[in-house]
Amino acid sequence: MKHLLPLFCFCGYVAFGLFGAWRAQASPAQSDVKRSGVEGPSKRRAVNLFLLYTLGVSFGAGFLQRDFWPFAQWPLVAAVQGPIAQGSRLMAVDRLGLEHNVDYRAWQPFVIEELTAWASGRWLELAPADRDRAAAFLVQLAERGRLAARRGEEVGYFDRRLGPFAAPSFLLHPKWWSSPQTTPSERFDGVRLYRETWNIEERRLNPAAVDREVRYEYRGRH
Amino acid sequence: MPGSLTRIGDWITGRWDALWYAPAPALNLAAARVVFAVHALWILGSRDLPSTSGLPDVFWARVPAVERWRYLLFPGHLTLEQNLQLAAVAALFAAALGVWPRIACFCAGLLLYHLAPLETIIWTPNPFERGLTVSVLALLALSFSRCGDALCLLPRRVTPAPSSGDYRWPLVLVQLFLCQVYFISGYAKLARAGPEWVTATNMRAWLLVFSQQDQSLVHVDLGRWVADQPVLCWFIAIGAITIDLGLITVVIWPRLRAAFIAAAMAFHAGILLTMGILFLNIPQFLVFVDWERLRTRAAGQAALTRGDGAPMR
Repeated sequence: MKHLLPLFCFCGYVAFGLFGAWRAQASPAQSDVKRSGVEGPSKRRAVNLFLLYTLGVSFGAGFLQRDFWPFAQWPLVAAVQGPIAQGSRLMAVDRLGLEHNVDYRAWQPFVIEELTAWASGRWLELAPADRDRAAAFLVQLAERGRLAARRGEEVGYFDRRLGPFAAPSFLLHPKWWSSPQTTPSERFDGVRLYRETWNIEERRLNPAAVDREVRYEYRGRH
Repeated sequence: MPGSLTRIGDWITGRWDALWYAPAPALNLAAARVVFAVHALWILGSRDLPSTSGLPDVFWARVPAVERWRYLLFPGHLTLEQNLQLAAVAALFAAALGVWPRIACFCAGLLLYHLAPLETIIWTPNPFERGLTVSVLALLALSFSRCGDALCLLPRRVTPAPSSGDYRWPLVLVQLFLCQVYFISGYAKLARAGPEWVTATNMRAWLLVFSQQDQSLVHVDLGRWVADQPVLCWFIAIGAITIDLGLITVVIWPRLRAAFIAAAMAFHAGILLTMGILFLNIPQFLVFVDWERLRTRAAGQAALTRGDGAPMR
């Protein structure tokens, strides 16, 4: 039942809003209201009910730090960062066994943050055969992007409608495959998922001071 | 005692009514409608949300049924989702242009509630910060109000009132939705991390983490330089929590708007450069512009230019 609470909250928002709108229609005509300076009491009550409900749910989601999306809890950078940092990285492996960073646009239709978050969690929970099926699809995406970049074409397609005015994702990323020269030349046939761990003060002095652990690896056609 | 309670009650009622129902022009509310519709079009036009439905089923395998039903999202319905997105785009265009604007806002709000989670559903049902969270609430709130009394392509059957409380409460509500992002975000920092979040040490650590990730597009040297300035780190920590918790006051006290919103924009610029985080809702701050005042001023200047407003000799 608690899993359906966000849905009920949203339905309540719509229901109270529609009720307020309906009461507004049923109230005295606006010209009469303006003349008297007083709005219909039932109309005002209905709008007040909607406002109070909305304030309650939206601040409630925030104060309880519960997901009632679209009433969100907005935990933006809401943590104390200790000396040890962690991250995930999804890399492509070419037919020679060399691994490469993948331009974030190549993963489209995925947004890279969402893909990495999925890969670090639910991907690893899948049965091995399913994991490999997902990996084979990701290799296809990376290879499609690589080929486009090698041809000198745009990687990805999110900007197909708005061009340079397309909205980026909330985290910005470098365009690694901005030219054929910066794009791997060999065909991809695998992916690797890494967990990276580092001490931020050590890495400040030595950018290479990162521990990398392979969490999953897939190789297709060898 | 009952008398003082009555006075307190009257005072609260008076403040409540002043906040939500003070007369306001139709133009500002209609402009908010245009802002949210165009912004949502911008986000939709920059993604391919329906394609998530067409992904191989393994990507959906671990999505709990309750999350699918919550948004009525199911794999294998690519064409349906594409058509729903087309409907959302049509509704947003109609809302922006003022063609049956209330119905358009309502349809767009419901469709975005369905479509927005497609961006994250494979790992979380909570797509906050992806650009459409505030839009869903705002478009629906606008649909419940008289947001179509100005800036409409189709002529109105009823002449709108010059100003009314009906134009005030929905505008204040959508402004509040936007400012809640900051307030709740500030609360989340303190609730989850405690007062330790507001320290130079924590700011330095965050700046270093972001500057050390080659997967993020940041100004590495700037991030590291700022991280090495303890006074600046203190300033950022205190400034960030002040803006987070304080910005919401601009809804109640318009005089604070210029200073607070300018400070927020400066902080967003800094965050963009040093952490590579872009707050996609920034264009929605246009709902704080007093368009009616700008129109009046522009009309006055035009009259002066024509000589209409010149004093008689």
